[in-house]
Amino acid sequence: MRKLYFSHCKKLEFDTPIISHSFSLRLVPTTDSRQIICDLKKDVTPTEHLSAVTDEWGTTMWIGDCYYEHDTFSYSVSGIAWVKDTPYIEGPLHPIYRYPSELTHPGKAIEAIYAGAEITSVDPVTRAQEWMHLLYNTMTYEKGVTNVHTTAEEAAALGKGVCQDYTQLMIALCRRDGIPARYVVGYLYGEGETHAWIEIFDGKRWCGLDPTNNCMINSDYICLTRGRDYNDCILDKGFFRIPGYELHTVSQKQTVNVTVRDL
Amino acid sequence: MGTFSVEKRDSLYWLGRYTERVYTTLNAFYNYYDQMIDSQADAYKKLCERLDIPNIYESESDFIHRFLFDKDDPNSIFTSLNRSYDNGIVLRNEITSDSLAYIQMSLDIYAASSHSDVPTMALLPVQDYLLAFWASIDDNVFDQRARSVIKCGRYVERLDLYLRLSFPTSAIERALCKMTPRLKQSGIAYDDEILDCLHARVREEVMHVPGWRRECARQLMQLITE
Amino acid sequence: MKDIIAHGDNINVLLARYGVKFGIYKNGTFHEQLFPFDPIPRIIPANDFEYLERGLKQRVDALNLFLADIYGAKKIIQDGIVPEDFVFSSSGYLPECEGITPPAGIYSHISGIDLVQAKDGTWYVLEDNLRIPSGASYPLIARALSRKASPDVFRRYAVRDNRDYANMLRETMDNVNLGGINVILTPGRYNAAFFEHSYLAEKTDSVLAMPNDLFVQDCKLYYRGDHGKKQRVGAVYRRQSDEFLDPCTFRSDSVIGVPNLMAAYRAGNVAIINAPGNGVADDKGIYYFVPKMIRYYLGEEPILNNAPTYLPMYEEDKKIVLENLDHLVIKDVAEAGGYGVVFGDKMSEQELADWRALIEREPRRFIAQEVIDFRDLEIMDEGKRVMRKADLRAFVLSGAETKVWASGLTRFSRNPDSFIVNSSQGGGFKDTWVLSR
Repeated sequence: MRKLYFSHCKKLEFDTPIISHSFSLRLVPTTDSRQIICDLKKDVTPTEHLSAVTDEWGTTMWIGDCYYEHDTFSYSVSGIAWVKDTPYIEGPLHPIYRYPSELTHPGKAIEAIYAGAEITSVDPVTRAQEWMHLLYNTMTYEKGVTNVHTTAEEAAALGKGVCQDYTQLMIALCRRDGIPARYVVGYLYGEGETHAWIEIFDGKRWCGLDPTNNCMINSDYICLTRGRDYNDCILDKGFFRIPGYELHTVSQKQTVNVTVRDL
Repeated sequence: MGTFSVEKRDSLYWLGRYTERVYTTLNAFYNYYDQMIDSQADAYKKLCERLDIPNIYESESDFIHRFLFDKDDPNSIFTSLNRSYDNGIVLRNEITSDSLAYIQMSLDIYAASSHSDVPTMALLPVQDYLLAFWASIDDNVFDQRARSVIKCGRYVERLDLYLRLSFPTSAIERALCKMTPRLKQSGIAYDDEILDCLHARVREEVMHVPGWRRECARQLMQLITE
Repeated sequence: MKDIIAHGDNINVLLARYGVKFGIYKNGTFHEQLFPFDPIPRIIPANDFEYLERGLKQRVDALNLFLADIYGAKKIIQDGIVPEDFVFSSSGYLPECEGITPPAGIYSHISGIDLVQAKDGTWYVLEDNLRIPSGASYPLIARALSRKASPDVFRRYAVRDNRDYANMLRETMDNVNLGGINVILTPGRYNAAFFEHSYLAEKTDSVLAMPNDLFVQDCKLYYRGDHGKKQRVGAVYRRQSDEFLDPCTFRSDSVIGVPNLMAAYRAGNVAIINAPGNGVADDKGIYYFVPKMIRYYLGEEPILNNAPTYLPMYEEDKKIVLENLDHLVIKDVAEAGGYGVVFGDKMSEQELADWRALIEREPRRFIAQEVIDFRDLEIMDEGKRVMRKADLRAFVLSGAETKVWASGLTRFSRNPDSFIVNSSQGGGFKDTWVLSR
């Protein structure tokens, strides 16, 4: 097993002071058959109340609030991950991962890719790899052309996107092909932002593939949270008011920093 | 009960204010309307000035119609009644369906009167219903604080209008004395000094200087501090 | 009965007095209108009601067991009674509710079951509503006002009192309350059913809350008072749909939700009435399987009939649907409120062909039903008695025991050619009398 240090900081700066801020954060990696998490340190500022809860998939979430006026909000988490050099993760299959989700519904563009592909293997993992190679060869990695609301179908029509789009498109194709698939958000070795990849179910266990980099996952990858698509894996959600009555969206600047290095 | 949200408390307060505004402004309207009968056609200008509302009316008859019935005129009595309803409708379980029904009936009568030849007659039941509304509040609202908040609104409005409309000092003093305990029981934050000052000004009639009512009305606007 | 018709105008005066309205959006602006009331009641004889009561209890009990199973062990899927994809590709299924056992194990506390009676007297269930069925307040207040307007009529007929609904509802809330006040959570003043929300709050002595009045702290739900005061909420009867309930869990753009409400619910600190996720059981596609559920969970034969229904996803049924489209009714499983319902006999040849193609393309999206020959009800139309289509929404309350309200909302279509009875499409309502002998 490889011993990695990870840290993840995010800072939000609001252009106007906010009050009555409620939030929910998914920022704690969970121990599973592939990774052991220890020495966790976390900080959320400012808060008045903070509690740890577990969601339906066993992911730890921090929920809390801050009622008084503030114009920045930040969190940081760091710890040590012992990671196995394998793409396989033990765990049961929930049937929901067989069916299209909000952001992965296939439309004309996905059906066209699906119909035009020549996938020959039988084994789910090799089939998924074939889908991955196909995507890697047809899609162009480009930032700024898609956003968090872009669906797999829209990304397919565009032929461009970032890790979220690669992953959702591959999920759509795998599910269309009868291979259960789920969306994963986590950290990748090095410095930067969070990353997204896919896990497919091979009949017995889950297997991670990274379509953006056209590879199986290995000990460079630390998993944070999983779900049907991006919408299930949003790391931080916050709702607040500006002094006044309505819930309101204020423009905000955010800085994120993720570090993963060897220890 | 006893606990209600800031929004609900605001609705109670403004329900009291708008309901009183409709009632007292209708009375004021009848007074000026009466003067207008005897060739003082522009008496309404004086009313606008006193109420501190812009005189946007083209003529006596334009005033009579729009000030009473124009739902797009923010200062019309009909608008005040609609605001009273908007505040009341969210308070059904604080004030009860029976009380709310009187606002509903006032509004229905009001809307139906706009084409009447003699609006003063057609609108008579509106004031009857509003008085019944206040009786119903006394009978049906068991939560003392809720009752105080709505009555605080009522008497703040009454005091404000009496000051602006140059009511006699005795009427103003009665309104102030009705308002004071309600304000204290309402849990609404207010400025003690301003309240004392209002009492002092109203009582010291001998020393009343011209414009004292206007000064009191100005102070009243700053009485409530949240 | 003549005198109650004669008193129809009196009742309408009283309904106006108490503002018995529903909201409707026309061209983007909100209007409130009176819900047209017809004075001729629907009369259900004691025997008929006894039968309906048994059937409705059985049906709702089975639906509650189905929900517990779907969000738990999923045995009915493993045993092949309900196909997996019907459950998990239904938009009403919420994975966020997996593993949560609601207080007292009750998912559907207030169920609105829509029935029609055919000409031969047979009752058919058309639809189950297990999310936020509305409408109970209308017959509730109409009865109180009718008794005022026509006391003699009620002296002559042995009509079971329906004004116990508020108590039944309150018991249902108290039964699952986890410590604290009962709250009715309305999306707001401009919701179509705001009258109902505020009226039920008044009658059940609950606090009527707007979304901003509630907040979650340390996984508990509170009502926000002024001056920093707060009151613990033990049960919340919410009247917004699941997707808007909690922006931290469901739609992030919801401004009528309570952030982190689901965390408080998952922690077992508050009851949500009805439970989130119930949509998976009242899906128009799942409807087909309700008789099977009754046999599966209760080991009983269904007492109430479903309308004959076909699922085009089954090849056999698809064949029947395509061949008989011109006299079937087609329903889009995702739509509600009378929308997404089309009648084959009203279609041109071209439309029939288009629909056949659409059903071929998206068989999972639709169900088809035989058109039931409704027993029409009499209504008063400009002083004359005429016959109109009508349905019955029966209310079933699941508390310590399952109870059927001895009344219900009878809605009718004012248009002689229409089968659609929804208030949002211009329908009216009647009181529903259940006779005690």
